[in-house]
Amino acid sequence: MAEDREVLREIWEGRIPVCFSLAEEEIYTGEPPDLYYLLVPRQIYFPLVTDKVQRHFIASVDPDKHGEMWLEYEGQPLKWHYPVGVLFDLFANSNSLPWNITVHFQAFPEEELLHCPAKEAIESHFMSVVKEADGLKHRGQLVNNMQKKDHKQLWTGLQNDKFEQFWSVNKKLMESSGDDSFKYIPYRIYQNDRPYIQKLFKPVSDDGEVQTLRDLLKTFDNDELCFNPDISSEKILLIQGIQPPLETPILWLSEHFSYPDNFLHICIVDKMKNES
Amino acid sequence: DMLTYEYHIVYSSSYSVPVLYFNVYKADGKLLSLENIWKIVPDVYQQELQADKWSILTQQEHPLLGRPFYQLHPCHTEMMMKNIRTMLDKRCDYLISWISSVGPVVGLNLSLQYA
Repeated sequence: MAEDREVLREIWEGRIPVCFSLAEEEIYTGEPPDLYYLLVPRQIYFPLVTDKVQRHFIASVDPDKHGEMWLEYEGQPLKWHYPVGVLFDLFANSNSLPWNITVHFQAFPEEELLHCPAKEAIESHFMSVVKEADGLKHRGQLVNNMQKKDHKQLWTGLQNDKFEQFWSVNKKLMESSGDDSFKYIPYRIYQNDRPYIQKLFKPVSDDGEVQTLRDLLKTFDNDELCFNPDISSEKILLIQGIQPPLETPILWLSEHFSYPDNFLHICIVDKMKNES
Repeated sequence: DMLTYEYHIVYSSSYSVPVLYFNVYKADGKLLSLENIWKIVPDVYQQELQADKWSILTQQEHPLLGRPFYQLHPCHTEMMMKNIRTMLDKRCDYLISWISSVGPVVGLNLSLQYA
């Protein structure tokens, strides 16, 4: 795995240029506020970097009528508990940068978005996904046997953008030696018109065949998954903003293309919007 | 001050245990906040809750519906159920034992008819 360490570093350093603007209907003071630009890491969660965005725009909103800040793109409320890169791959257009996101302080969509009442909410969510991933890979043995300070280090490494700090702990969770490979692969498949799908999937079949991304996709039927690459399709598959060859072993993808939460977040999106 | 509770039980294949999801609505239809959800956990569980509330009961995305629900974290369920079932008659229905253990934490109390 050490040979492909550069891949880990490149994935970690992925950034998306975002342009934040305040929802027009919420502008209370005379002048519309300046746009706010930020280069956001793909691997993190929005609330970790949007304090400044909040401070910038809140002055322009009716002080009697504002609640928790939330983000929206082309009418789609953005789920803060998904990594930024997943949201971008799923909803935005990689040919149209910066990513123009609208900031809201009113009419929080409770039926769609989780609240983010404190930084602890982000950490708690992140750790719960890491634990679920380990539950799938190692029956939870590795995470549960780690010290609390290791859990903390994963979080602070992510929060402070410290690759080495994060991976010195995460490499233990990515351990898969020989027969002790991951039991199941942690992944979720997103299609933007429905909740994500997730089923148990082994990296090596019971007959000993190394499973590829294509093998994973084949386990879903046409109702569940609108993606058949063998038929000329209007859809493409993105992981970390990249279309990996379908022959890639799923274990390798899990080890190298997972987000810091240890899940492979796979997005099936329209081809049209990603082509100029 | 009427509250409406909605409970879902979803089997998690990641943890191989059932997981309890729930929402609590005020009379005006608004969702109860996390702070208030924690406040209405019965007194007998408050000490344990306060020690680690962010790891025990938080808002999550329902895995099938994709909407926000409060969730009791499943991490401890397997261990808890192992302990409970060594004490009880193993023929006792798993789901009944599980609900009667975790349910009361979030106001879900089973009628004795299930015993």
